[in-house]
Amino acid sequence: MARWGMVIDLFRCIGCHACTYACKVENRTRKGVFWTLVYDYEVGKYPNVIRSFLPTLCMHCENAPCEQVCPSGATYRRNDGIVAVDPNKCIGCEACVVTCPYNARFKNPKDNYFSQDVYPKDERSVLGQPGVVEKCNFCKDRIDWGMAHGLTPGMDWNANPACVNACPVNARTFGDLDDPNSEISSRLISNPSAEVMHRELGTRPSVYYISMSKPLSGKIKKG
Amino acid sequence: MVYKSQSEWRWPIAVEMFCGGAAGGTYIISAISYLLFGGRIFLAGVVASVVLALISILVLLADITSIWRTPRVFLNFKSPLALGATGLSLFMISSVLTIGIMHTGLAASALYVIVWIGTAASLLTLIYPGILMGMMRAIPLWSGSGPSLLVLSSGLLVGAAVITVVGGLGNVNFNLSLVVLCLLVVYGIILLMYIIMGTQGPKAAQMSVQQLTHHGLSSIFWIGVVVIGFVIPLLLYILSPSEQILKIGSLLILIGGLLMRYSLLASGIKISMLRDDAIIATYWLDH
Repeated sequence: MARWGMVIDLFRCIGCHACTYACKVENRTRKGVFWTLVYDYEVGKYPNVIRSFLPTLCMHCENAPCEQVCPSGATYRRNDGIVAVDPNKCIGCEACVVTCPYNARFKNPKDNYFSQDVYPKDERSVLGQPGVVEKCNFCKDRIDWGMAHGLTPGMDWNANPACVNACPVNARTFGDLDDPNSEISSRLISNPSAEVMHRELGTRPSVYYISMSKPLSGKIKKG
Repeated sequence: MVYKSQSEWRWPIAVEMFCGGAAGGTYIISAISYLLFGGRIFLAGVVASVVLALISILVLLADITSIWRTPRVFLNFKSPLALGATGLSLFMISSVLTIGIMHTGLAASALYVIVWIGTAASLLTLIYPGILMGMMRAIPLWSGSGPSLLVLSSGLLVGAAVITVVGGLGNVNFNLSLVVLCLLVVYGIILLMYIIMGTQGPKAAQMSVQQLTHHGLSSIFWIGVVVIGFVIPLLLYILSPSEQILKIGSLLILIGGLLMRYSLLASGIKISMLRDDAIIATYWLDH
């Protein structure tokens, strides 16, 4: 069984937000709901100011705090490591939103933003139910569809999360963390300093960041 | 701003926590002398606890997505929310049965067991918000056992205050004003220690405490929680001028209890994903 994860290379990210919009189009999230966000921020003091970007999303933690607090079992972790939400079970208590250290979860507004006529359902997308909490699910519908059709997530376009496909600089790499031959594994091996966010919390995220601790100087890393 | 307080849980949750805690505390104080010393149960207190629990349940139902999904709140017992919902349900059943038995005299032999179950359920109702908040390591001020102790002490204090307001003074077979005074002192010590420990914690916890003591929530905290909810009632209960004045003091305790829960929720600042000196430029994406 695969264990899906993602590596984000902060040296490559240019803050174009293509991933943000690809995710929004793919998952038809509501106004104000962003399953992946790119923080655009500055550090340092004039004249030594550095502008940096930090893409964030659900970290699909092995020890997910959201799963622990969910009273209805709507938040669950699949065997392949993806933490997903069953919108039919969610009661909208927002305990998971409050407890998430990565601000990855959003409660859909209670009004019906999308008309069913404008966006008919298809087998790979589910419209956000009003009043329930949703978040990045690594485009699990795309992954499941791809695997059912013999494709390899992380290698084949149609089986990749939308944000990975949209990135123009290949800052995001997706794949099986347990496969030593996968591209994600080779990126982690060649970047031993890759780290997770807030390791001290013990959540054990499946999303790794390259160059998170180093101050980014704007130099482009080759390769 | 790289540090932001959580915005999902505000007044509705504060009211729900307050009413639930008050219900639990009221029931425990009403039944304690019956359980431990064979005294009598203060029926008005049990009735008040049922009313408070009903308010808590109604506020909770108004806050969730759909009333038809309510049964799902019991499904995952690893979650303190599910335990709290179970406690609240058991508490409602026990309290209603307690009132029924005491009114009708039927099944009086079961009263002792029912009151014990009700007391255990009350304790769960009192403490589950603190346990839930204590699990949230993303908010350092809440993380740990501090919130549990705080809501437990506050819940018992508020419960004793409710009993005072509904006519408990002179109608329970223990010194209620002394109990309120002792609980006030314990609550005050726990609140002070909680704030002090927050100042020693991570940056987000320190900022939470600063929100309470110096910044946006300082008026609510100092005037509402400290002066109205603690100092004035403490003075009134030490001086003990008259029953009416003590009732006013108890009402102030209730106000302070509600404001304490609100300020605790509103001051819950999350750990940052960015460096402390970062300045966020994408304000329109910052939620």
